[in-house]
Amino acid sequence: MSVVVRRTIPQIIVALVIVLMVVFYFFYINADVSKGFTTADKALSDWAIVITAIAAIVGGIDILRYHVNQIRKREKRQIVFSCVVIVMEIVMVLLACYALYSGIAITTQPNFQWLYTYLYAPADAAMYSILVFYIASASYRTFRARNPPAVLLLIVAIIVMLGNTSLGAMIWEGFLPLRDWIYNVPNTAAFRPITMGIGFGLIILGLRLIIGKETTWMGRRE
Amino acid sequence: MIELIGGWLAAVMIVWIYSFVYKDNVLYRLAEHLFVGTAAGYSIALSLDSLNRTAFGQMAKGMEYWHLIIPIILGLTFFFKYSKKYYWIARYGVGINVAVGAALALRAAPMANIIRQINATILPLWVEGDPLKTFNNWLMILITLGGLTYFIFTFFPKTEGKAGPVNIVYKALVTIGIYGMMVGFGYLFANTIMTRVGFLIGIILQYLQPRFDATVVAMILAIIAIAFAVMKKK
Repeated sequence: MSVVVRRTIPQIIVALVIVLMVVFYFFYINADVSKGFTTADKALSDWAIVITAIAAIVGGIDILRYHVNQIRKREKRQIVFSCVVIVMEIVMVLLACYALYSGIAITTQPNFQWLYTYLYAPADAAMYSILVFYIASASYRTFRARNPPAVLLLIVAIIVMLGNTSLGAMIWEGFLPLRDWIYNVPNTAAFRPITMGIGFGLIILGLRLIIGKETTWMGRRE
Repeated sequence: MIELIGGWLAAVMIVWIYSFVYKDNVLYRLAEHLFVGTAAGYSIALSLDSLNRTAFGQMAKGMEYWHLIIPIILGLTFFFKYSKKYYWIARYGVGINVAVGAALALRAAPMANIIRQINATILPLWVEGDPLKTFNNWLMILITLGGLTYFIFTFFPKTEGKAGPVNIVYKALVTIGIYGMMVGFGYLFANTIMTRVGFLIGIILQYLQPRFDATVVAMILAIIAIAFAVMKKK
């Protein structure tokens, strides 16, 4: 296929969708146009949801493919673990399909719910909280008073932690109001330029997509 | 009975995952792969549910929803990424998602991320009878301006030779910005630590304490697995 079909047309579609969605959102022409835009806008948002759902399924299939390849390669140390992944993934999907077939919500299917409650949820929480041990070592490095800004970071972090716990209130009652002041004044002001920077970044990204400068979303280069 | 097995499974999974903190071992890898398999299956299940509600369920309602066949086809084009020859077809599906995401961001960003932030920074520099409010307003404005100055990378006032007033103001604002951001990062860091520790305590109370027997058995097994891993390395 020519480059036009492979690259140019997808870029034009992206630019057109962005321009139309933005222009009709900001400019009012008449009631009919506005109604038509609202319908089309809602439809496009639904399209994005459907495409995202299918993309997540493709992602799951990617994991399956990876582990099937591991088994094919007969990697001795990995083969059992790959089988575990494949079996668990297939079991979850089969239970979900059974729930859909029965006409009930997937999350209310008893076996699915059991696996979620006793396997997925605790493992997910453990994976999330395991970082606390690494944060402990990071704290040691962060909380060394090497220069004035590091001293400030250290003091603020200690005040906020004491303000968050009952121990802090036992030591001095002022920790909680001080924590609230830090949150409301310097913290809010400090993150304001960052929020504005994100906003400018989003606008520039959109403009780059419109003029066809941003091509990373197209994947591999030809 | 089924809840007892579940309680044991949850406690065992947590202890085996935590065993990684000391050293990678076979029981951690088992727990990790059980989690990966379940998480992948769960993600697919949720997507199927979403697809059922947003697409197929709607299409069953009437012809006016049959346009949803287009995103289904566009979504299915994602499978072409496995082909070396036809991988470019997937760009049509990806393109729609990228465009809708970018358009929604473009619509919201100017107001939420820029105009409202500027609006909130325009504060009175003198509040009658309230020195604390006056001080807070000055601090807000100076830290915001300082942070913005710090993030300007396109031009810098001349630093060589005798420092002019522009240079002095620039340096002062950048310093205020750095100190302001340090306060923000300190707050963020402390909150992150508190959240993670809170999670850890929650896990102990919810899963490990009620099934203390399972926790002890899992710990013994984890110690054996770690010892085995250490010996194997030697």
